[in-house]
Amino acid sequence: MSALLWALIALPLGAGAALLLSGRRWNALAPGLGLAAAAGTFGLAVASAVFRPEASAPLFAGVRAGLRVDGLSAVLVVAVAAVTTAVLVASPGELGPRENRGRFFGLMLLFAGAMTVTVTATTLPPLLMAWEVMGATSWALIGFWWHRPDRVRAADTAFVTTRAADLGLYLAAGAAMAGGVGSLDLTALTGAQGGWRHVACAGLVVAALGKSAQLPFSFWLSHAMRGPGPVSALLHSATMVAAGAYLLLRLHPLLVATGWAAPLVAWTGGVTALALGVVAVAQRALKQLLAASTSSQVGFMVLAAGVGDPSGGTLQLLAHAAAKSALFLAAGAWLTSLGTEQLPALRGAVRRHPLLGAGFVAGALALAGLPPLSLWVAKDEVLAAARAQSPGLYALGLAAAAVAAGYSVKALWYVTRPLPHDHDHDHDHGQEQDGGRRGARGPTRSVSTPVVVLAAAAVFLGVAALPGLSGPLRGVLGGGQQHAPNPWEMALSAAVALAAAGAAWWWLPRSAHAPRTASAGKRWAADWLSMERAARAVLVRPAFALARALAAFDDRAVDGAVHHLARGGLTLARGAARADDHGLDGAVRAVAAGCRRLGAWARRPQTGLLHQYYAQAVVGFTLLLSIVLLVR
Amino acid sequence: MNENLAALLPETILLGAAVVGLLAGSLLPRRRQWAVAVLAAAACLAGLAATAWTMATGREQTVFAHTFAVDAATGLGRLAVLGGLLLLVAMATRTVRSHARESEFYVLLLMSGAGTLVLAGANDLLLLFAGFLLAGVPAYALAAFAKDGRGTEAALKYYLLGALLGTLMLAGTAVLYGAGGSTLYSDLRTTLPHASPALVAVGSLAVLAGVLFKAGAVPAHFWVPDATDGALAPVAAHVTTLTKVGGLIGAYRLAHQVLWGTALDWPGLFALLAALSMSLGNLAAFFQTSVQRLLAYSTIGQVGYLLVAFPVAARTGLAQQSLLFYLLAYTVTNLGAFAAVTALPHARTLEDYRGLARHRPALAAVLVVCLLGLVGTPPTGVFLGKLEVFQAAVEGGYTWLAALAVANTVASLFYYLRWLAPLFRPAPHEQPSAAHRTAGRGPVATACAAATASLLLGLAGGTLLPLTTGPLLR
Amino acid sequence: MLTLVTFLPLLACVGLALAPRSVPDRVCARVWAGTAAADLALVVGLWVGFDPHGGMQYQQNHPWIPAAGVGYHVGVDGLSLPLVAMTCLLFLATALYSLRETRRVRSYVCLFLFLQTVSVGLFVALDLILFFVFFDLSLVGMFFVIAGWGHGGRARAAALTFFLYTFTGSLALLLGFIGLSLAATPHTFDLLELVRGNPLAGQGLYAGLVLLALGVGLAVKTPTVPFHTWLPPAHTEAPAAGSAILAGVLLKMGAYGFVRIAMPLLPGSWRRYALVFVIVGTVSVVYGALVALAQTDFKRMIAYTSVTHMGYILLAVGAAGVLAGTDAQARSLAVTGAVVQMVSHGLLTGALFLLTGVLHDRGGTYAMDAYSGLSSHAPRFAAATGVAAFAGLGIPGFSGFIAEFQILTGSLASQAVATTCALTGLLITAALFLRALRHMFLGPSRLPAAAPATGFRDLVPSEAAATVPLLGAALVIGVAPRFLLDVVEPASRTVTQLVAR
Repeated sequence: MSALLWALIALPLGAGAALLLSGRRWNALAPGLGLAAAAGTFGLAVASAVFRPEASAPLFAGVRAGLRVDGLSAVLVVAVAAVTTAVLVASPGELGPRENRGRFFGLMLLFAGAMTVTVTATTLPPLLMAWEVMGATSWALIGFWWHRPDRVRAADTAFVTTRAADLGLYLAAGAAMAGGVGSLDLTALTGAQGGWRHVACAGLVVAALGKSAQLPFSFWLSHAMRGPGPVSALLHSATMVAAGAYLLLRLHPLLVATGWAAPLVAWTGGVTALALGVVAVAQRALKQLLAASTSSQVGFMVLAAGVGDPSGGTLQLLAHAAAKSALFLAAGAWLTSLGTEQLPALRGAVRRHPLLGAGFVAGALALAGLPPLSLWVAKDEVLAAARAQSPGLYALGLAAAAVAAGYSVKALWYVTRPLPHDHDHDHDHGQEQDGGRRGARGPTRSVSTPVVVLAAAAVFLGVAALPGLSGPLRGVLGGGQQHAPNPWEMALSAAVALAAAGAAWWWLPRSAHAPRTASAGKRWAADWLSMERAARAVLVRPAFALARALAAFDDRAVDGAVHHLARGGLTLARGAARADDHGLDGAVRAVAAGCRRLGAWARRPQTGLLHQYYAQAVVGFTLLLSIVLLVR
Repeated sequence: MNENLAALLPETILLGAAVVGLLAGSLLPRRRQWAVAVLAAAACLAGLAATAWTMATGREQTVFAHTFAVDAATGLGRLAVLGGLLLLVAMATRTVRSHARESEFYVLLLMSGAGTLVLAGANDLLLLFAGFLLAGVPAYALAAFAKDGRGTEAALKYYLLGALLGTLMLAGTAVLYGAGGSTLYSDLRTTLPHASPALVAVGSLAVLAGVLFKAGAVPAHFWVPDATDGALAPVAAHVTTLTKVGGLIGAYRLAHQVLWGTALDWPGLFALLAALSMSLGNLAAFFQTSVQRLLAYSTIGQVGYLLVAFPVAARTGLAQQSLLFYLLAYTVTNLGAFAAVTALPHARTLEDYRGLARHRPALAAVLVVCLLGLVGTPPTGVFLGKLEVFQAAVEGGYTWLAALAVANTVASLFYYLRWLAPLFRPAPHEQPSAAHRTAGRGPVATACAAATASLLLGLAGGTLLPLTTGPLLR
Repeated sequence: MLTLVTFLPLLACVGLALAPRSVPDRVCARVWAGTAAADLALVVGLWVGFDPHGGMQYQQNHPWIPAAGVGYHVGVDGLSLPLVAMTCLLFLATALYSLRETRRVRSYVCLFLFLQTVSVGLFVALDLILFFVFFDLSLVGMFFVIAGWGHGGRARAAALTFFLYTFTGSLALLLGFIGLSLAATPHTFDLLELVRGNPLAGQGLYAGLVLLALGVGLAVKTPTVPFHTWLPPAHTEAPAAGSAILAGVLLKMGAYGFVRIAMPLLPGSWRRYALVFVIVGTVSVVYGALVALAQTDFKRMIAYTSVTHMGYILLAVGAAGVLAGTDAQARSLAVTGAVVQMVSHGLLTGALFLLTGVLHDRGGTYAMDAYSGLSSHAPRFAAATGVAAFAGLGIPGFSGFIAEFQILTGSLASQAVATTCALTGLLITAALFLRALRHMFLGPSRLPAAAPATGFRDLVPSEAAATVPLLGAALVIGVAPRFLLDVVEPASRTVTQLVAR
């Protein structure tokens, strides 16, 4: 059985590496090959979900690289493979034949392989390896169009931020080793001795929050939106950002065992869900809005992990993955065809491409959490679990749900407006956004189909979790029944979502024509709560200042000290040479030269010189004598 | 009483060859005077054979009323001096070829060599002084051999300083005789501890002044830079290298046989001398631009390292071993450097050596081996010697002296590199400059041979080291 | 066998030196490449016949200077064999890279062949004096490489600084060796006998002083803060091949010395002063990374990252010396990581320095702000540098991760605070490599004024053949490290046991 698991990993990784190396050489073939690999991976994933293989290999002394497909990961591997396939189907629309398709598809497959390893890993080293490879592929994909410095800088920011959080995993591995968990097994972490359990837990939590763009790391996700649409759809909505939440879901026993971690995680998730929801509302660019909403929605998953509701969290993950990748693919398609992602410029986008538009609308409605769509079901599940823990968390979650309805409707409202008349105006926006790099091309059927399929999934996935029908899912995930939502809870959340959506729909036309005087709070929210500015002010700039100061110190003080030492030696040497050569010999030679000039017959110049030598030698030996006599 | 003249075979051969050479030189026409060089070389070879025979058959003995010891130290000294003389004769052939007094040169060299051997083996203060004179007087003449202004000046300085310190030495001998009632080391050893310390101190120091002059150690080093710079390169090589062998072995014998028994702090004094010599020599060498002057100061520094073995002589058996081996390695290596200088008679300053590696790769290689060898870079012989010396110093409790020697070694690297670096710098002209014209095959071959020997001493030093052990005979 | 591996390059060197002058330069370079390939093949043979659990193997022990307790004793175990293999691979890469060298090729080739003998010899030496001989000769060889083939007017000054500084270190090392040998009865420099005898056990101050001498000597060569300042100028002025060898092989000599000599021979003092090494290592990591972050010269930046990477090694070996509160697994993990880091750093930094050589060859400068968007001119070059940079910042899948993960995981147990500080090194290194990539390779294309009008040529086959295998080896170690770890782990367990006694 382990061969199945190795194949599941090797196929995307191998195919990805091969495509990456081929570069442009097989540009025409790349989409087909990539898709075939993704489809194959999907098949293997389904087979793995059925057979539940397990595999491990020795890695370090006493540490094995373990992989296993269990209930939770079975769902995840299938979902990852499915979304990957859907996104790759849609990709050729945005990645035209003139692009380096081998690189793109290769990186996407590499990423999918790494994500598969992440979700199946049972020990820390493979988890950490795949985790960081995801980060690296994310860097390469965000900066895919590397001619533009701003995109590359965005990629750098995203990578450095997530890597800062990744250090938590290194810390966790060390703490596990120190705590006596020599196998670095994820499930054994709970048994770490002494304070090391807390350290390990803290490290894992930091890493997970960073990868999932939770507070206070969320800002990198905003930068990640510089990448191509399919990248946002796969990495920065459906899979990679969900990996952190997934890890927390999986490690719930550890969170509980520390005592402090579970509430901390729950509250962080809740606050992120609300705060980033507000941020999403304040955005004026579609992809930025979706990105902030991703953080917010992942916040619900983190909340679920904190309150110990794996099935709710997983359902939220799946539903969100489907909805958000559909939305991102649509946004990317519009960006390609209309050249803009500014909301006001996207008016009537839905009407231009009806099929694509239908998919977008369905996805947005699901994202709004409107009943009876999947995210409503999932969120109710999570909220029920949260209520069992603390009423405060429940209230927070409800508020976040209301905000979710608000930003979803905002996006929906703009794209469903009637077509404006002045196309040129729109195009100006586009030029400003994307430099008019690509001409307006219609999104092909290749984009519409996956969008519709994903949106359909977002709509209907909820059925699987409705009370009474959720048996199979729970069976797969192995979660308990303890937090099934009450009917009144479901009614309340439905009412909140509908009310918020209605309010937003009513309010938007009024605010859209109002004069643009954004309040300070609104600007703050639009700027993603100024997290990046804070990080730059508190960490990055001091680090660079310190670096420059140390470099100067290194050049002047450390190196200088060495040279001073050397210079001191040289000065001493000069002194010695002078005393021997010039003071003595030089004077002597001057005398000698003078005497020679006076006359060759005079045979006495050397006598004068030797007087000095004599004096020196005699004084020297006298000193030695006194030393011998005095020091006994 | 042992009056076995065969024990003094090497010395006798040298003196005999000198006499024959003198006679032959006056009879032979100028063109044929090279025969004297052949004679000298043959004498050296014969002396080496005799030494090897003595050492191989283990004929350690003291002869002539114990005034001369034939032991391991003498044996090593003979090897070094005779081997060195051989190299000197080989490197000097071109320098003095067809000179009006060509044969005299070799005769003086042989006599001075014989004197050096006497210094090394002397077990009696008077014989020591005799060795001092026999080694010194021909060397004074040699220093002035070129008969130019610089050479004359050099010789005069050398001679007059030697005269002063020689007088002092004789006076010291008299004082010690007065204090101990004998000039024989074995007698002094028993009598001096009971004599007045002041008298012993004055006398011993005065005697030491003479041998330190031969060794070129501080504070009797003043002649070294001038004499080396002024004299012909082979002569400079002789006075800075071979006489040093005799002087240091003589001093070691004196210290070990006589001084250690007295109540004075001789180890401290020698440690001081070592520290002063190495520091002064190395520091003063820093900014020299003349290669011969640079080598002169380098030899003063080397005496310092050699003296490190003295303070620990009584405490560890390594001291003698390290001193003798270092001397042997130093002789070969320093002569190699001087041979390279002899081979390039027109290159007097460091700048003249620029680009040498391109035009004279063999000589450049010799310089690399010998100069880095003088620094103590493995695997040359001096490295092994230095290693032994350091080992002896640390074992004898003079770690600070070893550390100082290490610091000095680093400092010395600086000026050796000032010489080495230009070798590999592209020369200003593509054509070999006049400074790179060699004096002929002989010196080049000598230089190569010396460098090879220096390397071999390092690589195969293990076979020679056992020869350096063995007690000093009384 | 080991003697053959060691001295084969020297034989070739002598052969070339004695060959008639009419032998063309190209032949010399090919002879070098052939010799290096043959040597590597021999090492592969050694590896195949190596038994990981067999301790020291392929030993040869002949008396050399018996009177001084010095012998010609060579052998390999799990610590040295990977380094020997890495050395031979790196020299082969350098040989291939240098096929296009045009300046005084014969002496250049001879010097490098000499350096290869010296480097391999150092790693197989089991006698302290033999070790020292090779240690010192490596300085001599590198001095001439930098002074003779360096670029820029400051090459000679840099070479002089390098030689004087590292020579000082080597003499401190010699004093330490003497101190070690004198403590044993009979006096010996044989490493294995000294390990067996552990002569300095219980000699507090004396052992401490010996460790100080050894520590300073090795730290200069490694180099660690504050003895690192010879490194940046030496690298900046050295030719690319020289830099690759200097960083890839010569720096390892210091780090290897810690594992091979300082730890097993002075276990007591090592344990007592382990904290010093931990602190020095941690400071090197963070300080080196920060100073590298502020560099504007690409090659200088890489030079400083070497300080960081070597700092990890020191952290690991220091942590392995602290016994309190750690289990043997963690300590052995740290030491294994340290050895892997030596191999990994050799491969990756060797590749990076060869690539900077390409940069200088085309653009005439290392200044990062002189270039931009090189990817459009030289995609292969950019890809290779990008891969090397990511591998250098420790991305999983390459050898650097395998090393750093083990070091950090193994060290945290005993040195939580220091290791946590050292973790930031990972982040800063990532930031600085990404910054360099962004400045030079990405964005709009711009070349320095000094670049030829023909533009920036991509990697030519000989350059690719030199760098890609190095990166490939790093990838293999990163993906399937067992073949290496199987060899290293038993040896590092032995070392930890020796330290703990």
